[in-house]
Amino acid sequence: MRITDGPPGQILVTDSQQGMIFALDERNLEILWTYEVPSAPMGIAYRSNFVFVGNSTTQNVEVYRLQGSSGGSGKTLEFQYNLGFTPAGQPGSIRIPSDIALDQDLGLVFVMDSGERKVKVFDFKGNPIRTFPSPSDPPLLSPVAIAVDEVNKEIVVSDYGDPNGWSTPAAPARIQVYSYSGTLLKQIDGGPAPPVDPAALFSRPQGLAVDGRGHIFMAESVLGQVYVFDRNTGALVKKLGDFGDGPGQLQLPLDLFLDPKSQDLYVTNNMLKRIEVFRNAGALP
Amino acid sequence: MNRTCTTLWSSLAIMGTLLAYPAAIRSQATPPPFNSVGRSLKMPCAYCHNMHGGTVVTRGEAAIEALCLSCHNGTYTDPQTGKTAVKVATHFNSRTNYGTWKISCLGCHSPHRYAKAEGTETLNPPNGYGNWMLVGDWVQEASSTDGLARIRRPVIVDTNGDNGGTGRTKFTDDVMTGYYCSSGIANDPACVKTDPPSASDQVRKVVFYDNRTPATAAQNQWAQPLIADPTTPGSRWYNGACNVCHTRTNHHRRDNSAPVDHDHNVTRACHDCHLHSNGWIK
Repeated sequence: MRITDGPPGQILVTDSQQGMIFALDERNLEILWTYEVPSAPMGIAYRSNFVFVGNSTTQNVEVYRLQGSSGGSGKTLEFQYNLGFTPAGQPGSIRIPSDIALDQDLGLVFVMDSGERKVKVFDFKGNPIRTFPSPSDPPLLSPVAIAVDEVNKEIVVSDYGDPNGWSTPAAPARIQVYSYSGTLLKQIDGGPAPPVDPAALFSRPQGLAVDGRGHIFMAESVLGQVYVFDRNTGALVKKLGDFGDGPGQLQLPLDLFLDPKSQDLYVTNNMLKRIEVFRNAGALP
Repeated sequence: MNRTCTTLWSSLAIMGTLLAYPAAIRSQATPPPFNSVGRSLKMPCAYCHNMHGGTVVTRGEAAIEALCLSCHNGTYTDPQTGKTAVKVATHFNSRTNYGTWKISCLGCHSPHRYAKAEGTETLNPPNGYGNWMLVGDWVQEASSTDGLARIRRPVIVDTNGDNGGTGRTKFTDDVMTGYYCSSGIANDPACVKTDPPSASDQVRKVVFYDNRTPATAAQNQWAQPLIADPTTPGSRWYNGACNVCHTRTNHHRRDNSAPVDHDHNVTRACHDCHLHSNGWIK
């Protein structure tokens, strides 16, 4: 489902079907430890021994402290507190926390609430700070995933849009870039859904990653590819993978994690129930 | 190419495509795919069908499944209704005597079918819901006036090529002797059903229940069954969708004669415990 960095040398993956969090060795993808989450974990983020888990059943973000030995195995999670544990419709409430991203330096938690189609911003203690877009701004239509560019202090959101025109006017799938305060800075449009030609523009944008150098990585869930865009021009810079079940091929990729050190790109390959690694894929001119 | 020429070629291409359609398909207007509230998804035919290949050729099941699951994964919320698309997972297993198999979305659901529970195919289901998008026959049996959907045995894909190394082999809709066997021999007589298929075996009736609440006539999301007692063990209605295949396993038999398990909960629907969101696996 969703994937993020974890303790040094580890990546964390949520499995909403099994109700599990998996910690994998980033070198060989071996399972180091698992944790059973009550109900369905979706979004996940990690910061210095704290794991933030979006739970679509309890409709909040659960914060756990990582316990156990300093090695890769023998870990467990101890529940600490919730974000969004307020009545529906109240400030800070969450309906479907489909993705989570953090700004480690500023201590901010960005929750993609795909149910209410808003980005909810909290501090690490769970206090709600802001929600956007505001009613006076263009709405998110069917947002699903989020990433944070901590270098440029920007938030990137993937949105299926409304290509069927059920809203007015019809809108294609798109990627939107916001400032931390919720100002829309940039929009990259996809095409009508779904594309017949695999070379066409995207229509089902899911998980995102950024490299802090002006590139946005996006999982195209229907076509089974990862698109890399130039943040400033919106131009397609590169595609990774293609649809299929062989090595390096994808079926329903839903999330990405770009390792800032190795530049390796980890992709959740959902229909094939595996993780795909594109070594050094983040190394772009 | 000028505009006139383009129009001419386009017309010829369309005529050629229509002529290539089987008569049975041409004779009816095929509705486009719909969502759960009856609105057209406005998908281009060519996403699934090869319009210029001389016949109607569907794309691979995996590509179509990816399209379904791109919304039905728990993250997508309809921009108009504000409802989140039901999270689903496909039914597959690698631990059976039939090899590694998987039932894709199209095994049970037809993107072109939208029907109401009374059995009359329509694009305007009552109360916004029907026995939704199921494949199968809607022609009522002569002996029955119930009008419920019938689902044929789903296509099962041998993803590992366990069936004698033939790779992508399927059960057919109307041949019930195609069980995969650990022997690796297709249609191995040792694995063939002991009770020969009959006409009524090949097309079973299906009753779907709302898997979020106990099935009652008032709460059913997908069906308003016109049946007296859908939960009677051994009844031909009992958990019909599962019974399309699960007729003789160790854990469940539609005649309630399973030797190992499921002599409990026999008065409940399979879907009470085995959720679509979990691939129908408990």
